[in-house]
Parts: sequence; structure tokens; C-alpha cells
Amino acid sequence: MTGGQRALAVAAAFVALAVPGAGALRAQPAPWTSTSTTSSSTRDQAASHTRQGQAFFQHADYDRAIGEYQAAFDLSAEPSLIFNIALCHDRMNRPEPALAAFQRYLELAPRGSVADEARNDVARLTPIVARLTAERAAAEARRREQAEQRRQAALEAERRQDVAATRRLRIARYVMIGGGAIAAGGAALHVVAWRTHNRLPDEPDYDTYRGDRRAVATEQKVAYGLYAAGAVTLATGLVLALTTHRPHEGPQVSAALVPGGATMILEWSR
Amino acid sequence: MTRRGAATAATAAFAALAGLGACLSIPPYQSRNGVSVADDATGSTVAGPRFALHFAGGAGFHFPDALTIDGHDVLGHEAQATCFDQDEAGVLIFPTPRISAITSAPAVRNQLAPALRGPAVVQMRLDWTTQFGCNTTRAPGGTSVFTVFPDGRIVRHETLEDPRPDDNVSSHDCACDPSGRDQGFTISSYWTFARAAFQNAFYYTEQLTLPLPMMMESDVTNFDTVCLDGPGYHLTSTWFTPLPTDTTAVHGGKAVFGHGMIKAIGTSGVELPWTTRSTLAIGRIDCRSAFRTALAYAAPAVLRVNGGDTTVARDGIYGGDPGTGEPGLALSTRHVELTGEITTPFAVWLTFPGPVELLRATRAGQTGEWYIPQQVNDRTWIVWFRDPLTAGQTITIDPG
Repeated sequence: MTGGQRALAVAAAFVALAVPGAGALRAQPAPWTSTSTTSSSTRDQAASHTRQGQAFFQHADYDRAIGEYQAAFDLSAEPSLIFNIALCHDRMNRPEPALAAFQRYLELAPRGSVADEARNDVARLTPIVARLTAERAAAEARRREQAEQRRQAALEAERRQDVAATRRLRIARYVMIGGGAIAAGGAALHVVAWRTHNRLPDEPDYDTYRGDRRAVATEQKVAYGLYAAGAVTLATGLVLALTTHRPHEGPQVSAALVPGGATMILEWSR
Repeated sequence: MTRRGAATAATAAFAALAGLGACLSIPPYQSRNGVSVADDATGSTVAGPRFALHFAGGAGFHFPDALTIDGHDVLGHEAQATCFDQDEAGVLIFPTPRISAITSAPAVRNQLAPALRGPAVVQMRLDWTTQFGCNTTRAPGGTSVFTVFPDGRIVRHETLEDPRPDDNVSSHDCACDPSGRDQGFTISSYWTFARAAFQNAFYYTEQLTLPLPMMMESDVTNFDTVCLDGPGYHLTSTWFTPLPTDTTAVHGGKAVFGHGMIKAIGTSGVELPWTTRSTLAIGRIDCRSAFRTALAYAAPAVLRVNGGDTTVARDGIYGGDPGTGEPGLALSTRHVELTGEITTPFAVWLTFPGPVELLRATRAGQTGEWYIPQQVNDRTWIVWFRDPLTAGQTITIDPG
């Protein structure tokens, strides 16, 4: 059967719905034509929706046709309307809702006027839907796999970043310890210079004084050099530490001027 | 180490930097064998090895009022001295009151200040002015400079001036004691010494060293150099008399023994300016040796500095202040060689062509503290040498 032929068949069903008694032409009378409980008003409304759906169908406005058929079905419970809905989905290349609608039609009217046609459609659409479902499942699996890979990559990157930060902080610590040691060496040399300096007033002769004075000058210069090197090294370590970012910890630096000098406090918060 | 530990170490290091960052000030060289000056409640003391020269404070003129050798004050103190008599050390404008630590003369200006503070040389400069009671427009004054060396040599030079010399005064009116009237004016620069501190005194002639009676109380003139013989020390006093109008005199008092230079200038005026120069030298051997040293100081030999002849200035220093106020031998190189034949300890004042922070002297065979340097400013140094310089020897001085 061609699409046009199928549309005609449906149209016959619509006629059966719209005109009481006309359903005898298709051997499947409309339900409300055979029961006295269905009001003529409801019947009229359902028929109106059916006609409207048909008009939409003929103009290939399938979505609106579906709406009209669904409204008619809600009023009439006529299974052929579900068939029509299935046809609309099929025309719009929506195999899954089309298949579902055909199957429902068969459930409602297994021996309906277009049941064979519906079965053919079900047979035709079932593998298509199966293939689509499989493809969708595969795509979903791939999406999930990719998401998992991204998550794992992010975790790995975070772990590597953490390892790098730990290593960098360790290096910073060693650098600062080294800087402190260098500065401490300068301080020790300064103490030596101070002791030599204190001997100067009691030197027994000028040559001894001159030697000690030169020693003081040299020791002071070296001490200042060590101070400078220690300060630079400490500052390097501090900069290294301060520029290292870890999620849950970080250095905090505070400085203050005090009588006779300055002090700096460095703390880490965990 | 924890992070907190690292932070503590960093803090400690920074604190150490802050605490120890101060530069150590280098004290100047202070020799045990050098000379130094210090102020005290009674004036200022110039101290050297086993001797000290004290300058008076207080209302009197700030001339020396004590010279201590081995704990003995050898400077003269005459309890009953007449107002114009010699006492301690100072200047006389007889018959006006003497210019010294104990005086009745008004001190219009009386400023003592160290020009050099040791350890090679201490130089004390006293600027003073007094005022005559007989004519207040006459306000003679002077500058007395005492240069003290570590070997106990004290070189004194001074200038007396009077800004109003034309305002005539008479010795009769100006005498602070009637016994001084009508004897004319005499100006004198002098040292007095305590008789009790010495056993004998000698004067020098060309050929002989003869005993000088200690208890003589009258003045004896023309003894340029005298030696006082004490227990374990000797003191020579030498006055330089370049002008025939000047003469030296030994003055005997009850408790003091004075030695000074005198200029008699009549009854109606005081002829100023007048300059004097003298040397006190402490000896430890005997007066004969002390005389030799005194004479060597009186006629110092030429010192050759980098080949150029240099003489002793009036402050007793080779290259010292020639009277221009600009002492120091201007050197063209930083390397200095001293040659010559100097028979006494000596000092040389050097001005280097550039800044010199430290210097080093070398001389063959020298041991101990044979030289004492003293930095005057960044380019100028005074170096005192303990030992004589013999012919053929060379002392080299280099920065560094």
C-alpha cells in the first residue's frame, strides 16, 4: 500500500467516525455509534478533531494532526486514531513513537481494519528501532566512557599538580633552610668580627691592631655578603612557596617594623 | 622539617639580619705606649707612659697645673708666691698678676682644646686673654700650644699679643704688689718645678755639666738647658732663644725651681707680639744622657722624606705646623721612605695624595711597638718612631 492509499484508508476510518452508520462501510464501526451511552456532543467533537486532523495530515502538518487525533482519541477511544498517530510519526521519520503507536493500536484493536497494515509496519519498524536503540546505547556508552576518561584525566592532572606542588614546596623549604643557614653563617662570622673588634682597643701594637682591623673589615664584608646571599635565597624560597598553589593550604606572610629592626613571619595554613 | 619549622627558621634568619645588620664602628688605635687626652672634673689630662700632664680647669687660666712622673707631681707649687712670681706653668707680664692656673688676673678668654688626641701626639691649644687692672683697654693675650709625645717630650710654643700696644701703661700703676713697682715690665714664659721632686739640678755649658745649687733663690740667666735629677727620672728643660733680646733664666723659689725665657721691655710698655718655644723631656738614665737628648731636640737633624729635606716645625714634629696652620708634608706618592740621622725619638706628619685607611711602617730589625701611627684625617697621618734613625737605615711607610 502506498502512502496515499494508506491515507485514503484512514480517511475511510475518519468517515466512519464522523458519520454514524458510515462505519459499516469499513466493517469497524466507531464505538460510540454502537452504544447509546455516548452523547452526540462528544461524538461531534471527536469527529470534528478527526476531520481537523485529517486536514492537517493532508497538508503534511503531522504534529498538529497528531494533536487533533490525540484529542479525538481522548474523546472517543477509537483505536484507528492511534493508527493515524502512528502514521503521522512514521511520516515524520520518528520510528520509535511510530512503532509504539502501531503496537498500541494492535493492542487496542488486534483485529482492526488496518491491523495487518499495522503489523507490517511493526515488522518494518522494529529492527529500525532496535538499531536506533542500540546506536543510542552505544553512543551513551561512548559518552559515559569519554566522561569517565575526562574525569580520570582531571583527577590525574590534579594529582600531578599536587605532586608538583609538594615537590615545589619541598624545594622552597630547602631553599629557605639554605638561605637561613647562609644568613646564620653570616651571623656567626659577624660574631667572630665582633669578638675581633672587641680586641682592638687592647692590641699590644699597631701591626696587630692593623691585622685585626683588616680582619674585622674582611669578616664584616663576608658577613654582609652572606646576609645578602641568605636574604636573596630566603626571598627566592618565599617566592617559590608563595607562588605554589595547593587547594587546601597556602603560605601567609606578615611583616612588621619593631624597635631596632624588622621582622617577618611566615605561616602555612592547612 | 615542618613548614612551620621552615617558617620559624625564616623568621629567625630575618630577625638575625635585622639584629646584626648594624655596622661595627672601628675604634681608633689606642696604644698602651702612646699618649691620650681625657677631660676630668678638674681639667684635662694628657697621659703617656709613666707620666701625665694635667691642665687646670676652673676660673684660673687653663695652663698646666701638674706634671706627674712615676706618680710624683714635679710641677712647682709655691704656696706663698707673690702675685707676679712664677708658679706652676704660665706666662708673666711682670709686675701684673701672672697668667697661670692660680692667679688673680682676670681671664677674659680662656679656652683649652685638644688639636690632636693621640696616640702618637697630643696637642693642647690654649687661647687666653687677660686685662690689665691699670688700664682696661690693654688686654694682652696669647696662644700656648703644648705638644706631648709618648717618650715624655713636651714641646711648648706660644705667641703673646696685645691688640692695643699704643695705650701706654706704667709698671708702677700696673704692679699687683708694691714690691714690683718701678722695676719696668718684663715678660716671661716659664715652667716651675717642685724642689721636693728632685735631688739636684744641672745646667749645660759647651764643655761641662755642672751642679746647680737647688736652694739658690736668686735668678741666674743664660741657662738655655737645665736638667733636674729626680729619683729614677730626669727632666730637661730647654728654651730656644733665637733673638738677642731674649734670655733664659733659672729662678729659685722656696718650694719651686723655675726655668723660663725672659724679655725686659722697660717701664712704660709691653712690646708684643712675642713668641717662645721650649721643650721638656723626661729621661730615665741620667742627666748627661738627658742633656744629649735635649740638645738633639734643640738642634734637630734633617729628616729626608722621599729624598727631600724636612726640618722640625715649632711643634716638634717633622712636617708639623710651620705657623701657617697647614701642617703635613704633602706627598706625591703613597710610598714613603724616611732616611737621615735622627738621634732621638721623632714624629713625622704626612699628607698622602689620597685617602689612607691604614698604614704600615717597616724597618729592618725592629721589634715591639717601635712606631705609633695616628690618623688625623682621611689623608693625613702622624707617625711617631720610638727609636733613633741611624745613617744608612731606611724606614718605609706604605698604606694598607
